[in-house]
Amino acid sequence: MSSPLATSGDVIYTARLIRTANPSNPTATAIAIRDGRVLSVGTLEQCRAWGITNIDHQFADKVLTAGFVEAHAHIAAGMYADIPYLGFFPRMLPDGSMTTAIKSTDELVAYLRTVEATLPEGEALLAAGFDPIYFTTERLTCHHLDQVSTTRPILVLHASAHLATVNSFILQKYDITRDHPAPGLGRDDIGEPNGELREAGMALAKEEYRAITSRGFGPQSMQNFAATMRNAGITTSTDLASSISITDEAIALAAAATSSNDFPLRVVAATSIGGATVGKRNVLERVQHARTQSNDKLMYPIIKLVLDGSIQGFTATVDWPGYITGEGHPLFLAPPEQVLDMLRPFHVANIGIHCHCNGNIAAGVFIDAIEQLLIEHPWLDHRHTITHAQLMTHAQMRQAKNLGMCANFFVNHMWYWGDQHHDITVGPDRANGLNPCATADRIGLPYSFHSDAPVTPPSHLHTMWTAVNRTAPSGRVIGESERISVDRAFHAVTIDAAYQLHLDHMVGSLEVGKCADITILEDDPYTVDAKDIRDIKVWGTMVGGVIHKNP
Amino acid sequence: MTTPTIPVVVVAGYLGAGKTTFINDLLSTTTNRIAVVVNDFGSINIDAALISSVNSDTIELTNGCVCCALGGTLADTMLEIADRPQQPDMVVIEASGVSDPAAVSANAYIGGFHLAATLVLVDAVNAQQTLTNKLVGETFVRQLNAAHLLLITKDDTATTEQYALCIDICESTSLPYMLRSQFSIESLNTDVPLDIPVGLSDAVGPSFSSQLLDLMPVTSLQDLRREMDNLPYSVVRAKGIVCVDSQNYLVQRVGTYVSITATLLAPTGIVVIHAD
Repeated sequence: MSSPLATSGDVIYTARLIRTANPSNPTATAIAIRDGRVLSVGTLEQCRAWGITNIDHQFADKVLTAGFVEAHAHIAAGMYADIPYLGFFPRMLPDGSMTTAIKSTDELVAYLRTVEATLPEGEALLAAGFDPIYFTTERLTCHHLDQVSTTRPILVLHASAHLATVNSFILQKYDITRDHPAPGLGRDDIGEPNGELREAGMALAKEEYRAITSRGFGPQSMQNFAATMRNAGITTSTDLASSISITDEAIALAAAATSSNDFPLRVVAATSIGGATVGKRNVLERVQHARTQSNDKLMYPIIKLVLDGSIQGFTATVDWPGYITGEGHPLFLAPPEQVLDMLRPFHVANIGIHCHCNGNIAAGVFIDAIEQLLIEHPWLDHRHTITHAQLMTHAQMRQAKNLGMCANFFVNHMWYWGDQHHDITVGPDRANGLNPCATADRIGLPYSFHSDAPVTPPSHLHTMWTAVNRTAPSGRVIGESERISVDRAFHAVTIDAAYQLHLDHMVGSLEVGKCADITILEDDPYTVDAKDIRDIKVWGTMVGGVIHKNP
Repeated sequence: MTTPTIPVVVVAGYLGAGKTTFINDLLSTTTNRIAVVVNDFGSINIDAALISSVNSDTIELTNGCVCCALGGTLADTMLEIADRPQQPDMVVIEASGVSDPAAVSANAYIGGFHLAATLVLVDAVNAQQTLTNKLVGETFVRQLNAAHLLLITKDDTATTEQYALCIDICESTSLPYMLRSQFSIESLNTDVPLDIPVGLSDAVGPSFSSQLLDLMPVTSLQDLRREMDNLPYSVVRAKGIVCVDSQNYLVQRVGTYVSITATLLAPTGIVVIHAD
């Protein structure tokens, strides 16, 4: 007998286990959904109290969790759908297939040959994701790429996007010879160009550079992004430093894409301020306009500022004693004296600020600016977030906690560059203190984790695994005392991520009235061996009650 | 015949050094068609009467100049300028206040362009303070050392002590320097004749003298470059057109930097300016 309140769309899913990320009701075995929202989560009997008769057992052997929230990724996370990926570590493509890990230049040549064989005559071969930091004994040059082809242009964009390697065909095409004066030209021992084009030097290969760097924003990039995130079980993701709010066309396109029931992701578009992406447009006006075009899968609660470089690029602003090899080039991307004035209009308009600070000098500049803004304009619930936050000092964490700020740790670094940080960037002391989650818990600073995809592959099972184990590829543990529990890691990638996006009333946990956003897993991260968390299979997701199965 | 390329001047310097004032002055007085690349349009102050059209990333002026805001990377913007139907006489890039001028200048080597000079403005009032700032002191020093020529600004409002400290800082770099008011960026335009004397005005400041360079006939570009590179440190500026192997070349030296580019203009000899 159904209750008069029940509607035909109501459904109850049973599960092996449901982890809600709601501490007052942490586990359940059934969830009732109405109009895309959580109606009840607990026992089957409890869910039935709402008069629902439609009971679906398809997830009876699955583990359902609150949908994963990724608070620092980029729409380019889906880029490898159409560009061959040459990363040292494999990653999953939007269609669910895994890429080939490239562990040597021989493997790189062999793989590019297979791609080359599929291309029409004369078409450029463009590839990306190669990271030379893993190739300490050999250097990728035009001679390797000439083994792939000498009759078509080949350009390999490195993972940092600051460097590319091209083949001799391209060098000849643009008349790049030993007499070329460009400083960004890599040379061999006898002064001949070796195919490396650095920074602005990449634009010497005009057509190929443009083809790989300005692929633009369109319906397909939205779909590739959403599919990449869905495969990782992510139901809400930021596009941090987003171009969506910048033009009316992009806003309309993103609004149309996300309005479809089939679109498997809530997108948080965060426009970059002070960067080079906005021309003459007033960012605050653009964000406020975009907000009028938002929907429940496209939101603009925050903005982004980039303050410094990266640790592995030796450009993060690291204070004394600096980089262990003495080769740091700390880089401010915005003038520290201007940060306060740049942020003020957004703070006053109650727009959350996520500031990229890899180094502790940048973090200090940002935290001090927020303290001043709070004195000028008391927004008590701002949740402004230090993103990356990798080298924050404990003193900075205490100050940030007192000010009501959050951190978003780039924990994947412990795996992807943990050995490099220990040996060649900041050295053992600071490597062990990198992304100090346990200290953040002791201090009470709220935090989340991120992949910065496409910088590292998006996966919150991986970020959880890293925060729990802190293991580098060599087997070395990077700061054992900063390990945290699976429970803390799970909250960091769900409700605590939603909190720093100002979306915790809506997503991040399975509670009555909130969105029915669910990550569907084959096993339970709490009970598998901690070393196996990252290997748990993701069946798919539910976003607003709509099921999205992975390929 | 080698095709002439467009000169690119990078105007750098720390926050508040006077870059925007420099750009605004240039746009309002120039008789050349200059493409200016700026970080954002917010600070550019263009007389409304001068504006002929406004697009999302460019403002075109009635005097033929165009103001481009960065849409993507600087390299992207340079490629867009190279593709414009109306080629400018010169490109001036305003570097951001915290950027490394050397990294910005690297964009001047993209096809169709050549680097004419990296000018770093030094604010006489604040130089000492910026140098000793624990956050940005290192950035400031890196910027100074990336210059080919240092141009001192705000000398008219600096105290005697501030000005002296600024001169000390410039001296410590071992780079040539002069007052911004003594230097004309337009003299770097390929087509500006030598009788506009190499871009030096006689404003108050360090004093200079000019002479025609007594250059031995050179038979190769390498020889010409070597001659120009080896001019004494006291030479702050040189410009002229010479013929090598039946091709005419415009030779420019700004501070320590020499550019040699193909030109269609007739030989003139080379004028050099010494700091006295």
